[in-house]
Amino acid sequence: MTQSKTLAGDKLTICRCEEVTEEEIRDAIRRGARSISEIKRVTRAGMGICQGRTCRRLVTKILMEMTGMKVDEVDQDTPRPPLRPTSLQTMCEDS
Amino acid sequence: MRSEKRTKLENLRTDAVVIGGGVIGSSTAYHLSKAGIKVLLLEKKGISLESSGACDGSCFIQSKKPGAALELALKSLDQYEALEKELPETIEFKRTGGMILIENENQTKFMEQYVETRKQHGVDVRIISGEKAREICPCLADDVIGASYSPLDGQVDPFRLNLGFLEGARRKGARILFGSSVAKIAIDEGSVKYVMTDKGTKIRTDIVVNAGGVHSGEIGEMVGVKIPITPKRGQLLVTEKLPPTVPMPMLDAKYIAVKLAPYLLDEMGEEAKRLGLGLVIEQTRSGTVLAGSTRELVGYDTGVTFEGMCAIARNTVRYFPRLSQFAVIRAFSGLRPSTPDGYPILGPTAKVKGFFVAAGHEGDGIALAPISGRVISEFIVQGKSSFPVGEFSPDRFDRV
Repeated sequence: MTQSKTLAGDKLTICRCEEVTEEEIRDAIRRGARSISEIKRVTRAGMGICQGRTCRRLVTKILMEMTGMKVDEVDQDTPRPPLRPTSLQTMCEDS
Repeated sequence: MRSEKRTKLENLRTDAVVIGGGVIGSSTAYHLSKAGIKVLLLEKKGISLESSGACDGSCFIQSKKPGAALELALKSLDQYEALEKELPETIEFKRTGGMILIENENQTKFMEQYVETRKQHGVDVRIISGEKAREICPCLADDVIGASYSPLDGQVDPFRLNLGFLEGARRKGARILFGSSVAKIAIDEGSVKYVMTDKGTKIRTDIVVNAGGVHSGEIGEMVGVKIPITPKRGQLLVTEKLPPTVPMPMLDAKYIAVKLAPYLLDEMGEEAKRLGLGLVIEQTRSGTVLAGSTRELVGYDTGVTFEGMCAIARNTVRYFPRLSQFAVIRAFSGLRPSTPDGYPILGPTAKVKGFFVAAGHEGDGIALAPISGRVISEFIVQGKSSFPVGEFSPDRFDRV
């Protein structure tokens, strides 16, 4: 990440689904967000089709770097179904 | 500032302590700060981590009961237009209009009467045909036989709203403590004296606003004020991003019936009755469609259930067959703070001088957040609200 930062600066995209940049994540933390759930609500990072599978670790890393929190102190987002995107049709049939 | 741990807070003194940082508490903090009152807001968890961050953004006027509740909603939505300019964040408020979908003759009869009483109160709402409803929203099912339509309904982004109020309050001088809850509210001779946080910080104040949402009852107990709030769980589904498909928030007549005409529920299956199932649907600015919802009495359980998700999916596809091919990416649930009479609890308490309540909005917290904060601020600053809210007084549950 440090290396990419020199290339893209804080414009580096952290959440690809919602196109959230590193600077936006940092700004949310400066405003008081201290968990993955809060950063998600402030920036939309992790709200897209992959549900944070890609960006969760990067966001955790930025949070740790800025606040000095340890990895097990960072509250992750509530895991919610479905495990993978599932069509409404399938959900109509399954019960 | 995040936590008391990192900053020594001793001998704090403030004009007002607001308990709860959801849309109602943050709106109250914003309005008070704007009026020049020194505010300290205590939020137990963090930014939008409870009901305010687990809901939809629909703001219905036509679903409100004629009288004080309707007036409150009308004033609140008017305020939204000003807030969009005034707050440091865009809150994505749009006067989209809204529809309540009708699928059979029994519902038509009920909804015609429903619309008529609202018209008599000057609300711009009308019954439209199924064809007209499909012109407005082409993906509606052919068997929707009509709808009530009002141009007054709208939608807002609840996350932006909560953040906007918090940020707005902060810029006007409010102090916000996340991760701090209230442990004690000290009363002397019937008046608020100070608040003690769970971390042991003492905050001297004459005014406490209880905006604790589903937790307001516990806060009321600290000062012997009865606040009968029961959490009702609402589950919702989120779809993948779609092109513009759902142009405005919609409910079905069942959703209204759950509240106002339980006899109509006999047409529903056992499962739907048990879940309190009623359609609520909207498309967010990002393109995802939010579809719900349920009203379940399951205490403070914020889980989602297979039964609930499937029931919502079936109900949604009945009204919107073309959505069936699209994917659900997430299910979530939030707790709606409900009261015995279905009205919010808003205003001062006769029992404790300086103790105010802004809670119990059930599914209307987003729609009523602007006006609720303003009303409480007016009570504190001017001693009275600029329009009558007596019907919402906390004292109706707690006669002295």
